[in-house]
Amino acid sequence: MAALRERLCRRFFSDFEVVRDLAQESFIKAFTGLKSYRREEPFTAWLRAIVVNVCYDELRKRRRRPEESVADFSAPAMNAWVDLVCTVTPEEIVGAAETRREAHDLAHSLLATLKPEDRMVMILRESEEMSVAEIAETMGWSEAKVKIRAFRARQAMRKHAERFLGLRTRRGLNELL
Amino acid sequence: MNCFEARNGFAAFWRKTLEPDARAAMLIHLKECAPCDRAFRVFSLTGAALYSDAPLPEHEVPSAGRRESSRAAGASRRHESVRSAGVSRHENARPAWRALCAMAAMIVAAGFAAYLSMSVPRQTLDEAVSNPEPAIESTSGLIGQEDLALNDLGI
Repeated sequence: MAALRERLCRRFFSDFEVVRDLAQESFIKAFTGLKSYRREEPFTAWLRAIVVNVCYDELRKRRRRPEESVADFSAPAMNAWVDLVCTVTPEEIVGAAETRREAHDLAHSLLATLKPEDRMVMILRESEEMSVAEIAETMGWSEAKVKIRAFRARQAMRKHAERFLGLRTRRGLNELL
Repeated sequence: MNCFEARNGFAAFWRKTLEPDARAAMLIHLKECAPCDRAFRVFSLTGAALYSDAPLPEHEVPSAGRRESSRAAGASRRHESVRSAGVSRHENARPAWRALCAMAAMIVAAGFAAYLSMSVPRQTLDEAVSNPEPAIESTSGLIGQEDLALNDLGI
């Protein structure tokens, strides 16, 4: 269960301290709210809903305090990672991403540019491979809202990533010329 | 493998769950198709956060600033977690009110200072130094004049 909590929190935040704190907070919430658990539903889904909501609250808090969620795209390590993505083969990219921390940092920074709702849907849909109905039930939203959020999140994510990659490619070309 | 199949298989390719044949076909397609190759590179910018199940690789030696800031953030979060949401919202709003009150006080003080500076002096410094103060008339003279005025009225 601890692994599930940490794994889920890691989807939303890259900072170890934050991940541990949120995993602990969600454990306390689950422990104190055990009375609300109904035996007919799976325990994992109930716990996952708690963790997801704790992470969602944290995302919204950070949105209100933008100084904590400012992404630094100019870090040299991140730039080195993007340079690598632009130059090596797809197989090498996949292999390198497992060992390079900056790959995670950049991915989280790009995700941080999304609204909390969009980020939630994006992570639950893509990372956790949850269905639209499951996300709607976990978040207490309508299925239509989940679908719209998923569409917008994908669009925004692609736009940000393409712009970022485009800027890097242009810079690389300028340096070559 | 066509472009649609290739793009649908990006996540499985990243997670290394593709069958060896499909993986080889994907690699061949990415080599031959420039738009799909670019799409995969765009995809890989967020792939580490969205599609990697492995635990995050840690920095061997995290920088002092980053460690301190993350510790401070963790401490503040722990501190906030023991407060109720209402208290937290109230405390967040307070600095804004303080700033507004300070601004209002400064505007009032500036207005008062401007009002005082508008009063024109009756004489210059030179005039004040050169002209001695007029002597104060004795009150007895004033009383005499008053008596004369009363006599004129026949009282």
